[in-house]
Amino acid sequence: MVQLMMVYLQQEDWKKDFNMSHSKLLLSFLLILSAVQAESLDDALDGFDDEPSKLIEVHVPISQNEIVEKNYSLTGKLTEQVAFSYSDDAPHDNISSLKSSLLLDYEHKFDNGFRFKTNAKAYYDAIYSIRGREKYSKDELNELESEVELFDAYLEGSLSDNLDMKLGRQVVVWGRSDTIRITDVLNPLDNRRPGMVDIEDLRLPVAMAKFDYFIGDWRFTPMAVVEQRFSKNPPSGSAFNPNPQSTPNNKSYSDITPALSIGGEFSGWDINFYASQLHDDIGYFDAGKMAHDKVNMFGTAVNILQGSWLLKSELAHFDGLKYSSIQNKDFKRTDALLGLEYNGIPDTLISYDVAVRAIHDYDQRLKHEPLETKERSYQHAFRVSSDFLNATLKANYLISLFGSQMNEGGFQRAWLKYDIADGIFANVGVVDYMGGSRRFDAVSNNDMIFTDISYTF
Amino acid sequence: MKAKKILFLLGVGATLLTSNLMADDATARTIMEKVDARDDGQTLEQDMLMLLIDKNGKERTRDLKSYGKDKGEDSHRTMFFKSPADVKNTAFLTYDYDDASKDDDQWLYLPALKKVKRIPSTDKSSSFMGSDFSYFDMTDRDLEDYDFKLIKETKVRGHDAWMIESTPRNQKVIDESGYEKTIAIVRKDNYVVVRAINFLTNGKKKYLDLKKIHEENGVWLVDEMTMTTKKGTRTLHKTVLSFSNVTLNGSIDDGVFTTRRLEKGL
Repeated sequence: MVQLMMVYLQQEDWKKDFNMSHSKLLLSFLLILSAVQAESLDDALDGFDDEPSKLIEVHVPISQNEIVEKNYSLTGKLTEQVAFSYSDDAPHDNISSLKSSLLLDYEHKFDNGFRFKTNAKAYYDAIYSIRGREKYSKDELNELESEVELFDAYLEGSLSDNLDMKLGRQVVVWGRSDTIRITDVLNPLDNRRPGMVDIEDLRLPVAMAKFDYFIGDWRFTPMAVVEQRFSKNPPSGSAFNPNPQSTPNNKSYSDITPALSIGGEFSGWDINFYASQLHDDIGYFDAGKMAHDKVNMFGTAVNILQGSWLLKSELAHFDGLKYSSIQNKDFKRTDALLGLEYNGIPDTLISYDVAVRAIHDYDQRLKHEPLETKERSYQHAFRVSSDFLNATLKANYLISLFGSQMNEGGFQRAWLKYDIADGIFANVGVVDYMGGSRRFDAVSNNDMIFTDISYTF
Repeated sequence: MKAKKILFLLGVGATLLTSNLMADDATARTIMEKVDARDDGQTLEQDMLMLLIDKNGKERTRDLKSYGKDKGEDSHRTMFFKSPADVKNTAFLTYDYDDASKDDDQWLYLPALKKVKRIPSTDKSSSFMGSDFSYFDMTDRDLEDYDFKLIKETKVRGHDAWMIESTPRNQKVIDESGYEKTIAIVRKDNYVVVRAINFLTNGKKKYLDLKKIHEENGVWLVDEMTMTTKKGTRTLHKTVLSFSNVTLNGSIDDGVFTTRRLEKGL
């Protein structure tokens, strides 16, 4: 109808119609417009289908069977992953990983509302056998060929209306940022393959007793960490630690470290205060081992919501840090983060975080630390995640760069996750490691593409 | 010159006509006020089965538990995903404020991150967990944000109904919802919107169809509804939501609507 109207207006003899009265012309236009509207409305209404829903077939038998909810569940995930490395250095070139992994998760709910949860992951990387185990360092084989790891194992429940407890191996996330750790200090990380570890496996649980006490909008969370474990770093001789010398073992600690979080949650904003006396995760060389002396940590984190923007900030102060090159002196460091998250584009999340770590009373000798330690170090992280095809396809991009000018190395990772069917999904992605500092120059030719397929049950 | 003048008048006429179409209609507004004021219970607890069907017929299912509670003019809602395993224990909490000048509060618990995340709520046009329902579809509309027009009287599944067009009064509402306008079909006997066509800003349409409803103690409850996204006549994606184990006006502890509960799960 619109096309007809356009043809009508384009015809040569339309000028004759200008002799018509204005009212007639407007009336004609009104009639044409109402016809157009009526047609588009009818077209739109035809879009409803009257076919019976498919769900009725699915839904009715469920209610008829009156399935009683079980008080336990066992779920799992089976994953096959292949990684292809662009590295020129054998044996870490070409296909560098062919990993099969199984995650099992068990949950039991008790009648009194308490819940026991545990999960464990086992993996085996067949590439070491295929390419010849003799080509790899002993440390790498020990760390990366196979592993069985107990992750969570805790009992949780409410002791009263205002008091919860959670006892056992668990992950407690402090802070607001998803990309840079400032106040998130309680759990060590699995850094053995930087940029390649799934976020659910990244934090390593530690055994602790955690209590949450609630008063109004506030939550008081005292904790006692009874298991002292430290981040897993790339083993010597592996692609991410070419140094053939074995990394010293960590000293073992059996003490209890206290931690406290106080958080308030309000409409449009929230705030947390943190305090902890914990073992420094990085540590320093001492008598052939890695020592992790206790440090005092105080911090805060804030979220402020403004329209489609979420402003995040974190601040942490550490007191009592020791470094390998200057062991007779304790250092203080203050870390700060500002972050923005934008949610104004449908099905898309964009975030940018920037952090600075400043060492007080800096000593020039720290420049010679094994891990380059500057007076001020900067880190930037930019992330975009978008869902397509009703979230069957998820596209993600993350770039993490160090240096005030973003010129001291880092990595970028882009990956797609596709839901092939219910419970079956595939990932394909690429990781690019960028040089610019001693730390990243050593691993900058480890760029790789990876793909995996997972089945959850 | 004369031709230009007439074209100008034609333009003015079309503008007036369009303005008239968008003006508020008292009858339509009264109907929509009754829709808004309809008793939907003080609390509602129910199981939800979500079936997601893509254009090739590939199906995915989501099993949820939902709790809702009126808090004066505001409302609180919590949803827990029970299955499949890859989304199990994901939970969503929203505080829907009646005051239009105040942004809703929303939180999402993602088991992979092991923490509760606050979500900006201004843009509500994003898909809710991959379904054809958006976050906006899960919250109440503020009538003051819209102009209403009674298009005609009609029948749906044998019931007399009104067909009412609602047009956002400003771009902010369009941006927030993603809808340029909505045509709702309201049953005359119970003031339930049983069908609606949402016109998206990208030219697509979303068809809401309440396939099955029933009355319980004077409150109309949905047993099954679909939301179908179409481009022209082509179906792009469809979501079927079915409800069971419904408890209306039961006692629901306020603790269900807290981030504490999101972390603990069902």
